[in-house]
Amino acid sequence: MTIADAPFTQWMMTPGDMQKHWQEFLERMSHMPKVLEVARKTRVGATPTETVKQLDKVRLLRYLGDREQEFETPLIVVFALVNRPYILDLRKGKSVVSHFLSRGFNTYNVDWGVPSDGDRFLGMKDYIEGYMDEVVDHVCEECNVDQVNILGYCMGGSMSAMYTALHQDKVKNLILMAAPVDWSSRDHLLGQWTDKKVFDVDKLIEVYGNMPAEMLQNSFQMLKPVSSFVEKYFTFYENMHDEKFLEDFFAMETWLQDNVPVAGEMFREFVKHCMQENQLIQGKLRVGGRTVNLADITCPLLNLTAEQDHLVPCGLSHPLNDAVSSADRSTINFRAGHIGLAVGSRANKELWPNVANWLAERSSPIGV
Amino acid sequence: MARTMTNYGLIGPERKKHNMAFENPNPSMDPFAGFWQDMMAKMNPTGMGQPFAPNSEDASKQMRRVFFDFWATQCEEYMRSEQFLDAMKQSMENAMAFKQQTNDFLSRVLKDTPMPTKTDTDSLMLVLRSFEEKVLTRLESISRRVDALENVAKAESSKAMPAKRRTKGDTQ
Repeated sequence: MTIADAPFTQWMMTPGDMQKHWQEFLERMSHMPKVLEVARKTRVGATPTETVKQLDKVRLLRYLGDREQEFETPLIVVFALVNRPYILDLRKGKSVVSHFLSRGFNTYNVDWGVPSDGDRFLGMKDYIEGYMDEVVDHVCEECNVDQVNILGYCMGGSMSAMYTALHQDKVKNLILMAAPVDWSSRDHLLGQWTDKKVFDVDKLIEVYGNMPAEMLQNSFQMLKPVSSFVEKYFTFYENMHDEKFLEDFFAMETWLQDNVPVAGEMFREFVKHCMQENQLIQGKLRVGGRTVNLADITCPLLNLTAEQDHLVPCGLSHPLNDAVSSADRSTINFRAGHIGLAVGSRANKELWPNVANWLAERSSPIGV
Repeated sequence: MARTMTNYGLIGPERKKHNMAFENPNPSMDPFAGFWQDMMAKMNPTGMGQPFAPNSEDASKQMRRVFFDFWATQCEEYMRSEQFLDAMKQSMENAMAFKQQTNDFLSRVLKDTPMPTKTDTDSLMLVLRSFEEKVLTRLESISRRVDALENVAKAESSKAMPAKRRTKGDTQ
């Protein structure tokens, strides 16, 4: 029992307990200099990278792993537009990317950058048919291959599915993590908040230009208010003495506070056409004058979902497996939350080595 | 204590009866009282309704867990309610109206000084994008025509090749 439990157990405290709690509080406060030092020195991003291509604000990063490249086809990681992509390589032992590097894949990451007011008219066409296609072409040229593997996370997963449907010839294997494709069920909280009756996305983008980062961050935190605003700090107080905990805590906080605005037109199209009108799974979504038909996806597909995902419940991702034409398609529903799927200790021990193996089994070794 | 908690934990019709017995002096407190009554009811299955060792670490952790879980469930229920969704819609409309007013005000100020406004840059961006679109469409059509011409040239040269070979053979 700590002082953090006091509000729940106060009625049974004796003066002796109170003295014990006060001593404990002082003892924890004595760790404050250490806490501040850890907060100052915590760095995010475990693996060094180099920028191999810059397209406006979009940067293509290549991870510089220690292991020699074993497989011919490179892997491109595509993250959502709402946060920074280093969550997939947050820290040592909490890095999705490290599993692919240690398995011998040449791994790239797309950093979408921070859109400014001038980017408000960038839409799905620009991101998917423009930037993504140019990134894939560049990687193909650099590695002297015709196809790439794609790993898409969250909104980046939806974008990767759209891209693969439009350019199946350029994608060898597709891995999606917590990627929504079917918004027909509106039971989840975010679905209710983004309902047409409640959320006028046209007006919002008309007035604000880009979707402001603060608004996104507040909405995400409000999905789990007790955990985001209360519980987290209780846990922090109880573990102030643990340096390893503090390092992980500050790395995670750095990422959570690092939201970026989303280009207005892209946000409007994604919310309106995908989330509100559910056009993607129905084969009605048009990107750059072409219709996105998920049935055009024929490559091997691995669909990863998180059992306790509050942001993208499994029901939003699972219908993809029925919509594609791939003969080789599988789903792993892992016991984790939306972010835990990437940074959770269990996911890093049990899930990601298997995913890297899945990809290795479907890739050609160099020189064969 | 266990007895009292069990009484608080009454739910459904029994709770109504229980409340009526006290003639409900302050009905506005009902949601608040309901929250605590429900929480206590949910604590019972965890053993919290029973006397427990006050210094037990597990008990206090469990109690906290139950409280947070219950609080989270209540918050989620509230955030799904019509009342909350209406309030959210209203507050977003207010925020948008305020932002619109700020934009309008800034535009007026910038117009008075010879400075470009947000509307000006937006219009400029739109002009550029439409220009880019036109150029790309034109380039695409040129590229298609060049491809078609190349195909015709290839076809003609492949037709001419065997003829040439035949001519050579005839000469020999």
